[in-house]
Amino acid sequence: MRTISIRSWVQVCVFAALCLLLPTVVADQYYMSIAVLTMLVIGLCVSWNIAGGFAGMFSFAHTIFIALGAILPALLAIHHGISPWLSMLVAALVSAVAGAAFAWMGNKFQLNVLTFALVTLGFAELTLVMVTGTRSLGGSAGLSIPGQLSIGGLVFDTPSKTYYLVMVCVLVVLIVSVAIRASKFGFYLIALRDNVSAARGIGIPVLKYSAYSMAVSAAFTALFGGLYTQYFLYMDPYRVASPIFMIEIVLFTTLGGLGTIWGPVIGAAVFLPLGEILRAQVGSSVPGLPEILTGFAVILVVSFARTGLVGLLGSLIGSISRLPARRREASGESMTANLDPPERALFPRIEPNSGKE
Amino acid sequence: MDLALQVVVQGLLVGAIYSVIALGMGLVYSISGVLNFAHGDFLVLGLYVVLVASTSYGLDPYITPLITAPVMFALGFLVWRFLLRRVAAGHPIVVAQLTLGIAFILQNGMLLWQGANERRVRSIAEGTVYSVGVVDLELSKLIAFVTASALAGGLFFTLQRTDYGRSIRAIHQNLSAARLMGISVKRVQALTFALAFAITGVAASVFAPLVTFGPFTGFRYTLIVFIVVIVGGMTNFLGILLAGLVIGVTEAAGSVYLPATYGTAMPYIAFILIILLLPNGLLGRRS
Repeated sequence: MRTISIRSWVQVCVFAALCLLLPTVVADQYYMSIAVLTMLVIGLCVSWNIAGGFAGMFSFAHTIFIALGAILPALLAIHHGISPWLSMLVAALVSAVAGAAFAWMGNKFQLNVLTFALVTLGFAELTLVMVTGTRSLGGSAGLSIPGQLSIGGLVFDTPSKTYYLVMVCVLVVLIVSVAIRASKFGFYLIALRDNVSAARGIGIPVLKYSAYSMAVSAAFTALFGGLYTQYFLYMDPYRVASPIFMIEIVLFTTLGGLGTIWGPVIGAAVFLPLGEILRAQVGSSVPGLPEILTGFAVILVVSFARTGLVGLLGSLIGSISRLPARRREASGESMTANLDPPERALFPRIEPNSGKE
Repeated sequence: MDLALQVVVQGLLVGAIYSVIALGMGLVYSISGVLNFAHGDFLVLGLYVVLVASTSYGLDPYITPLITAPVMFALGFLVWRFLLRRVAAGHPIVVAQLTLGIAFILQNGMLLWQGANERRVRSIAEGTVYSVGVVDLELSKLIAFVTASALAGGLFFTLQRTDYGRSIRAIHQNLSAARLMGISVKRVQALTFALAFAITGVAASVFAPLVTFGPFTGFRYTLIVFIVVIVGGMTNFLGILLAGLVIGVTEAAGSVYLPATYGTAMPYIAFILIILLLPNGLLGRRS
């Protein structure tokens, strides 16, 4: 039962149009490279959001999937000359299985959101230690990618060309995300997120759907991890295998709006270029200042936009486009009632004393 | 066998510090539901204060609790009152993100203030080692252990025997009921936050001679303290105390028995194993 609303299609088309227009406005390859980086991170955020936002599987294990997508193609290309596309596909499949395994673990041990998050963070830390400690995986120096990405005769050697490639991938994962959200699958995931016990009580197969969401999320994450590495032509373990990168992705997604479709997009699109440009302008003269400003921005957004930038934008748009709103207010509907879905407070509190499930 | 004993003893000594810092975090969590992702960075801030006191003013680290405790106390109050109190009732992960923002600011602020190099603090106790049987005990670690134990003991006494401590437990058990009983929740929360930070400050003073630190080492400590709190059962203070010791020993064991980089992974492995087997922590949830 897939009913993607016209509204969602319009949003996706508008986004696609904006993305297509961007290169025409931005000629400088330096800014294009920031655009590529932003696209890559948008892709990672949207992918993570499928598990973390929709299904409430707050996972830092995605570091492992990024690392898989980064390292496997690199190794196979270096030692066996295998095309990165094929190995990225393999990495995506392996990640899907690994993602499902994490979902199984969460289910088997009845882990609540916080514990699941921290256990996966533990795994993420382990990943970094394993990768930097193992020479054949690159050690702390990383791996150098032998060749540029190419499809047929087209070589992606400039930021502009890579931008279009990544943009297509982002659109794919976005459409998947929209489709999931509008479908029964998506409903089940939201149910899992809001109250696992109740979902189980209704008869939703918890393990199956949490595994599916992790699998889909993991596969796309691996894909973007691969694209990220192939673009930079260098596998940097302190980036792709680092929980810090993961924390940034989660941060962008949360600031944008956890569990919404456009939250991860807006979060990444706003904060990543901000950070990069700040770093370029100020970072060399005053080291650390960009990050301090980012920290302040985080505090501001969390303090004043509790449901993320999407929620903030939504209420802004709502208040502008519905000026004769007296009737609506009288009938008790909120300003943002027409946003699909109604963005209430997203998660239940983590009860400190509950035995959980 | 000698080596194993040495490892256990070292682990216990350092683990006590972890326990005390984790107790601070556990206190904060039980009183307000806030997961302070910046806790390790506040610890490192304390370490830097000790460093500055030591290098610029010639004060020995063991005198600095007189400085770090009040400074951290005030800081804790300010952070709670003006940054966290508004959002504490929201989604825990979102609140944690705010503390992450604080962490960014702290880390890079310290980078600006003191530079990126790893620093060490000298102390009177440096170099003094006692030999008890087959075990070597460094004086600095001993002092740290004794201080941590005293702090923990003081905390437990406060929680069990004083009205203030009882009000903390009451708020933790049922906030609305506590309010109805006439407890000024606002005041207790602010005071507890400040107290937790002050404890961390004192811990920083005795911890400083034991470690090298840089502006970004805070994250590592945040993770370790998180692990200790979770393994301890979130709000079970006795559990946290025990968990700190366990994690301390695992870390010591890891650094000795496993090759270099893998050794740092031991606490995480232990954490994963323990929490999968005992999801409610070592001693369960009840405080």
